[in-house]
Amino acid sequence: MSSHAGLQSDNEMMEASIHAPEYASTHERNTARPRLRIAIQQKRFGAKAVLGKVAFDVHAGEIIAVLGASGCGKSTLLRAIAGLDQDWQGAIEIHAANAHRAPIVGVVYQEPRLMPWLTVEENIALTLVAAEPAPESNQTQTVDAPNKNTNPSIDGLLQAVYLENARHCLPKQLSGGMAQRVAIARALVRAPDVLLLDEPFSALDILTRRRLISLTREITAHFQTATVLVTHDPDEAVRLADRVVVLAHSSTAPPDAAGATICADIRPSSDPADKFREVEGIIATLHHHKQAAHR
Amino acid sequence: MNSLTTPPTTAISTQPTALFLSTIHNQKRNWFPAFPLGLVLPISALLIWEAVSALGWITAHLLPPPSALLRTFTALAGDGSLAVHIGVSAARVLTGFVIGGSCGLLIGALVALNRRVNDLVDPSLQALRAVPSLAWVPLLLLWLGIDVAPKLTLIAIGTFFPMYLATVASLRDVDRKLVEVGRQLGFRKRQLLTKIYLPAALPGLFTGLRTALGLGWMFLVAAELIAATSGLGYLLTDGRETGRTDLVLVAIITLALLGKSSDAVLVYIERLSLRWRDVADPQANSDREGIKHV
Repeated sequence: MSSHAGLQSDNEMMEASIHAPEYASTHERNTARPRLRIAIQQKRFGAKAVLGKVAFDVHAGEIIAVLGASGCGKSTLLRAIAGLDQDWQGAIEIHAANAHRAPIVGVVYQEPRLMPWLTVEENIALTLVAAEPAPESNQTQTVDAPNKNTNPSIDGLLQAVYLENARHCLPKQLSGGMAQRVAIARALVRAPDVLLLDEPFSALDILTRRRLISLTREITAHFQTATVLVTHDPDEAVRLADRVVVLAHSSTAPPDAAGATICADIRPSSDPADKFREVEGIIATLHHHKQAAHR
Repeated sequence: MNSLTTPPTTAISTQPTALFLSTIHNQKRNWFPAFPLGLVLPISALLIWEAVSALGWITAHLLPPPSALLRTFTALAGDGSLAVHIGVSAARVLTGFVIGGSCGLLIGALVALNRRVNDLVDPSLQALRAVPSLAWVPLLLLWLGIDVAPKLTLIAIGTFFPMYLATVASLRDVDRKLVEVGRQLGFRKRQLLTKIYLPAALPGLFTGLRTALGLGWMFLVAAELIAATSGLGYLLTDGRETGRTDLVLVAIITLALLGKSSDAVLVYIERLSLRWRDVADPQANSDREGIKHV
């Protein structure tokens, strides 16, 4: 399986700089039903369509990169999956790994978005506030109780993102990479079925970035999340994802046009030597579509 | 010789600025608590005032020297009447401030977070705000008499508006991105308010509290000037009516001290509860030095 081989090659690369925790790299992918199924027909901002027909599936333990130039609707797509935007046409299905509870989506935003008044630990714990059953309704309590044990512990997560020593720090005391790692831990603490990453590494230096990319791979394999990474960096996409979906640019399209659609769908090879060629291919596709849009 | 010494001096010339800055920084830390710079002007003013009075350049009747004021002050403090005046005034300010401030916070929060409430309430409140608060005095006297009720109402009105405005502004200013985090997590409205909106708005709310408390003291004097038998405002009226400038000045100085120290209490609480802020003020930001890179 391509993802497995990719994980190994990434780990080999990072071996010198980090001590990756030993996760069981089991890939029991449920091929019968995808964890996340996206079938968007259209998404508009007023008169302007930002997304056209966009459809793909993401399975548990799989990473899909959504790639495209700025303003092509990548983040819009992510917001739709996250439930932050409601007014799109089509369907987004999310299936929970545990049939007894509602599916959970974890989001890592472009900025860490930590609450500046809470410590690292409290920021992660804040996520669990919503999961606590309301005092007035007793029905949810019975449903939620069994999952409580399956949530990863905050200690374990802090260890997984190498932040055990920073648990009592305030966000202002953290560097950019540290803050983004806290955001990753925060997204994971509810044991999400789907993990959404909105260009989370774009503001970070190359070493931190590589480190977080391999961390994301480990996390996806370990927690068996369906991971969607939105990025504008082909290198990052090819390095991290099992599948790269490229969105065509829509900014130059006429107002009544259908909006951005998928213009390329690639499964990156496991051989690192092929990655360069794949990156060049993606850039060429993006360039081609931009030219076509301008004409 | 000269050519030999030049390179080292240019090399060092960048160093002194850094050294210079660091010494200034150290001075700020060690020198200031020992001698507050803010006292320089009042103390020199008092000295000049005393000297000019002693020389007989100003009539003691119109402007008594500081030494005379000190005597009046100790006399008032000695028979316990000053403590009574202070106690009565402080209780009025505090009560009015609590009533006006909490109404301002509550209504401000509703207006900031609910568009319908905003459309319903805000235009009327803005219109009422345009009325100079002292214009309410005759109405309050007609409606509520001359007892304690109109005084508390006036102070409550005076503190309500700054608190209301600060609450609305700071809640509307809360970063959309942080609220979105809560929304995505499925927070209920009450959770969004208590876990995200209020803590994020806290810096603005403190500014509102401080403005409101300052105005509270102002309206206290206005209320006590009109009809009162005790309190610092009464002391002012009493001093004017009996032609005792020293009483008036002692009341003014006491008001200044009370206003300043009540504000200092709020500033202290503010510092404690807003430690998390990443601000330019080095005093508020001392724990930023604890940055750990893990």
